[in-house]
Amino acid sequence: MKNMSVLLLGFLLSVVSYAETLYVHSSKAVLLTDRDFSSGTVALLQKGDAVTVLQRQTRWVEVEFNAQQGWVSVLLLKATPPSGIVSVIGSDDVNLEGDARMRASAVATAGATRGLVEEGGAQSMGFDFSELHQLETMVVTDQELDMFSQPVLGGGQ
Amino acid sequence: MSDTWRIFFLVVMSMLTFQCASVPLEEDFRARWSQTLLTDNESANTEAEIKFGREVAARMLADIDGVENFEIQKYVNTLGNYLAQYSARPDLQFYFWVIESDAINAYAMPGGYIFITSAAYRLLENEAELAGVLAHEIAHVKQKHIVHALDIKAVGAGATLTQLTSGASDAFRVAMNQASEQAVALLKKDGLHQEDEYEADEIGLTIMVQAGYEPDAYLRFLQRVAMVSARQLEEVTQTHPSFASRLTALEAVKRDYGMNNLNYAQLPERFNQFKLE
Repeated sequence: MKNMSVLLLGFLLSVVSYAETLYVHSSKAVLLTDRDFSSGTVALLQKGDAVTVLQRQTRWVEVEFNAQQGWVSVLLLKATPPSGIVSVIGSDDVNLEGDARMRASAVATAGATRGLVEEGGAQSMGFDFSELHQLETMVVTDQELDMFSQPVLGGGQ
Repeated sequence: MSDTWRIFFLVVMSMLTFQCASVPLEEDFRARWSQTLLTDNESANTEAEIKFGREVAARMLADIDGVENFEIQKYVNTLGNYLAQYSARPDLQFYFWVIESDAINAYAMPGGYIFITSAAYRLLENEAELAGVLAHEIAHVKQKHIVHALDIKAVGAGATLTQLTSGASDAFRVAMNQASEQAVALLKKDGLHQEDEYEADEIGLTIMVQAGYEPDAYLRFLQRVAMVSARQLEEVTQTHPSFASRLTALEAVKRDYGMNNLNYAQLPERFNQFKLE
């Protein structure tokens, strides 16, 4: 009988530990009271937040976060924590993590040192890497994004 | 049956019920969404995806130049990057570029390279409409539609995208060249699978709403585009489902997600500061 109780306790613990965890992959994600964008806001999740799955439906996942329950779009969650930005710009493939200002500076430096023609002279074979480099220098900083978002989130018409 | 066994049985049954509840309830198109959640942790392929996207973008730019207006390019790039924050692709740096073309269209290349034509830009009336177009393209990148459509393995005779972009041999370089050529053909002539376009419309709409833009603006833009001369629409009608069917599908998306009457931002004044003459 005692052995049976231990087995049952172990089984219950395994059920509890089964709880699925997902991670927020967008910069922000609204936790809603229902599966509906017009429903109320429970909380604002941030990139990297870990949420516990309560139930999953086609387009929505019901989750628990900091003892609060609500619904998030399935598109914003993944099973692994979000990674930093991957970049291949520069002489070698580079992994750039951190804030956008650092990335902007690194990209600009890479562009400046690389020159305007991609290695291998691909420009003469129907490619225009010089214009590609031009657009790749236009990286937006986190501060610029914050300023840009203000009239949007203020509901400006 | 003893009480202990009875409890044990109940626990097992409740666990099975819990497991079943986490299985997606709907099939086909719905399954694609669950795959997004379950199998999208392929960060190892991101570098290859970006390298391939750069090749395709550089090939596109060999034929079409960017609009020479720094303020407009900066504005579009900022809006695009703002929207991309809601794409759940934090591994990508997105780039947005307005290109000179009479065709009304926008293009999404792998790795986060997105172009919108000057003709499409001129047809826009507010920032929310532009957000809708860019969000649709971001959705193509998020779902890796071009990479899937090209079936890189077939193109490279068994090669993966990572091998193709490595340039490890002449054969891979040739295959890579062919793949980027085929990608441009997909973008400008052949089009993606119709279901990819509907999916991009749906995901794009959720991206723009999460970012705070009025979803109806995108539908209004598509209605306006549908009225434009056939010559300017040749490319987009060749590569996309009909506007009527897309609008019907979008209305269903709005209803299913509770997106009606949100009264979100449209920002015509800010957009008018960056009009293209």
